[in-house]
Amino acid sequence: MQSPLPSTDSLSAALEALLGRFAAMVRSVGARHGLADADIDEIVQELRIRLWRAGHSGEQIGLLGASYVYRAATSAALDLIRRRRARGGARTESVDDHAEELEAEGSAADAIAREELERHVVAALDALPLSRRTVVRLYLSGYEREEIAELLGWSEAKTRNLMYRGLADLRARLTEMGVAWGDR
Amino acid sequence: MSDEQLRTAYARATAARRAADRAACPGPEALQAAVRREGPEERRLATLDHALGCAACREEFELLRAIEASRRAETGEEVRWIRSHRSLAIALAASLLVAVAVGPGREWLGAPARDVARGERGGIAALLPADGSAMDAGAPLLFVWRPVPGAARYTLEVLTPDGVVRASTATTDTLATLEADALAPGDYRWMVRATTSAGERRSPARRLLLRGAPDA
Repeated sequence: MQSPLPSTDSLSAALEALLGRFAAMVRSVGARHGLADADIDEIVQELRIRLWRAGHSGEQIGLLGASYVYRAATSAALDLIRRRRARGGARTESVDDHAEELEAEGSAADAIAREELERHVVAALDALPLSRRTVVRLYLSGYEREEIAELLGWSEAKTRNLMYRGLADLRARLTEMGVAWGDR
Repeated sequence: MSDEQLRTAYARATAARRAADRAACPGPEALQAAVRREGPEERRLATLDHALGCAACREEFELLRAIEASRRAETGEEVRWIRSHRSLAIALAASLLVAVAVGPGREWLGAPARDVARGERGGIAALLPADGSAMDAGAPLLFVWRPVPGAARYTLEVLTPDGVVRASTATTDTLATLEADALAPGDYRWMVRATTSAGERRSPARRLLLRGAPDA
């Protein structure tokens, strides 16, 4: 039997304040790497339902700790991913929708040259050892060195070392493939 | 080719890689384990390697990573890149202050004992800016510290090295911003005092260097 849903103004205000703070935080962190607002909105809505159904009072909502809220958010995100995979869909706006912005003007020959370069980059990356490849992928995806160290649990020295070696390997392989390397 | 062109080529190449059949993709739990640094490193690296090269997995990875990074920032676990990323810190401060102004929720950071386990014993763990940070003057400054159970109010103070208070603000939250024009370039110390029913607790003083704006 489900408990009756609380419906006071104070609960609503507390809930919206908490969700507003959560959304602002995740949006700030995710925006740098193209996380779509639609994804955050979906998680916030799921979180709103879960917290509402948990039957907290407004005062209790205000006292909820970050660990509790983020645990619920992570669970909601995992459920969302499972649902999307089950129905074979993706979100409405993709991280890589931004790739459209990358489309450059140019001739057909330019397009062919770009595609060839992309194939070379993928091939050169795939030939790197796993640890170097991962750190280079993160670098090329726009992560800063400290973010990479944080994500991988490595020291900054180890991260720097593997990143520089990986990039040097990548450049060497691209050079072997005939890609001219320089500042421009 | 430059690094920027390399990044662009890589972004185009990975955007085109979106597996229609996700059978070869790591499961959501594997992505979450990689984000949380759980499990053997080899497995985490393999998961990340796939996720970063697969547009569909990348979206899922970014969602989980943003939540985890936010959780770690909110609970005060080490997030070195946020400390060093000034533009993000400023954006974050602005958005958080707007959210807090909407209504209650100021205890958001204050509940579970697990969240307050770290930090200086008996004092306050100051998180941002890191001790010894050098920042440009002329932009808002974000200060973040760990919650103190039972604190009714926090007072942030920025002082000169000889102890003269140059800026001060009181809040019930665990973060505060100072306006862009609050402090001139110079060498400062900052600290937080928590007022509780049992008295006052304070953080150690942390050094903050504000650099002058470069000439236009």
